[in-house]
Amino acid sequence: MNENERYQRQVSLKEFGEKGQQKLRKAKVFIAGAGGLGCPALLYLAASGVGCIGIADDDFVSLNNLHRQVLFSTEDIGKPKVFVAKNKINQLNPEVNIVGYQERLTNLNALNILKDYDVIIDGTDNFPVKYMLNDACVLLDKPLIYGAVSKFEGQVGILNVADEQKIKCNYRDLFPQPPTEQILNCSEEGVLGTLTGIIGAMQANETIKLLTGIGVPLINQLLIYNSLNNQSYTIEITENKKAYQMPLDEEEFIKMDYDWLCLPGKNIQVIDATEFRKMLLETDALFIDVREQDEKPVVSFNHEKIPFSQFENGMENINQNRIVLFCQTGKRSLQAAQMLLKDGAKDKNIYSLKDGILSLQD
Amino acid sequence: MDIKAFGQLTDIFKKEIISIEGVKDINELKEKLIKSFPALSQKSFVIAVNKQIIHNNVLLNEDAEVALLPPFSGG
Repeated sequence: MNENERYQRQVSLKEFGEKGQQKLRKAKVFIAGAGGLGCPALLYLAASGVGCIGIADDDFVSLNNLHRQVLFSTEDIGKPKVFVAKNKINQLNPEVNIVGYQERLTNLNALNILKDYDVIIDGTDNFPVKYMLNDACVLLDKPLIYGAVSKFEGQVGILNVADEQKIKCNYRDLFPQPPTEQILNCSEEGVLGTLTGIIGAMQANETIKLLTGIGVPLINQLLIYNSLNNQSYTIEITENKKAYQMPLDEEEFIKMDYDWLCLPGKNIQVIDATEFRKMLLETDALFIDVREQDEKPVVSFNHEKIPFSQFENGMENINQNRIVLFCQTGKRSLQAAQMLLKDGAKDKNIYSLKDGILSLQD
Repeated sequence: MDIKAFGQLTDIFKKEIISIEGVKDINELKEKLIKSFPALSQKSFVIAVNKQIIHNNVLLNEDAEVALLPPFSGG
């Protein structure tokens, strides 16, 4: 079969051309999840001639997947998704090398799997994996094509790619902390197959744009599409590095507990100087300075001192339910807040002063 | 000024756009919104002003375009 003929309709686009086709052929794209988003993304990227596509999913095809996971047929029910996907894609386009990972992507295997790919597509359906995948992409410095849906709306954007100002935003710049309330996913609140089809195809489209250098990809942008009224709204994501703590290397990444991190009901609120001053007027809040003994400036309001180096032991004596932590720049207080939560303070309200004590000085 | 809500936040507002008058900055806006819609205090969302995500308290012009964006997890 003449290879040119297969891709003729896209190669004849002068912006794309034979050059674009070659770039796709050389590309290695990884899709996390063969679900509502992953299936259309996989179908279109394979059809368009991406040279190598990795796909990870540990799930099996079930009847209630079929209205949106259009790669699968009724006869596939009960079979591993990755196995079926590989066979179907081989039939669609044998020129594509499909690498199947029939396993759950976790922080223990992600770096090893993702490191071989050029672009990562988020087709996952829960927050623990979304945060894990984001952190892995930041550590490996890989572009992440983010996608997610809720009822009739979808979000899509390109993360961890430098824009013209050399700014690189990731998912934590957009949502620094996982939501504290329960947020339902597709299996719980329902979704129309056409919406995941649209968003998954948009993720594939952004991937093609990024790989071939055509058009204006959604770098540092979040597009929200409403399938009921066809409105779309695009916003610019801006850096927010002070509001979150990322694992800094592989060792820290592997130690992360993403399921715990994303458990609903946890509560750390990062507050600014104005909110902090307001809380000083409350009588039931306990303020804790986690700086070491000799750090300046000394503060004049009522507070306790538990230096960060001794925080693990010192936190045992905290009985209050509203706890406001502060340090010099906001970093250690956020870490201390996470230690408190992990220690079982789930029913407490824990606050951390953003930018630290220095932000109170102006 | 118009406040545009997305995702599950529209269930709280019962519509996609609500109008709020006389707020000078983001902190005031948050306070007023939570007073009018107490359920909002239990929801995670970020705020965009004139289509740009903001992380600090900023002043709001009467013609500012404000959007409240919750995280989505479905896929």
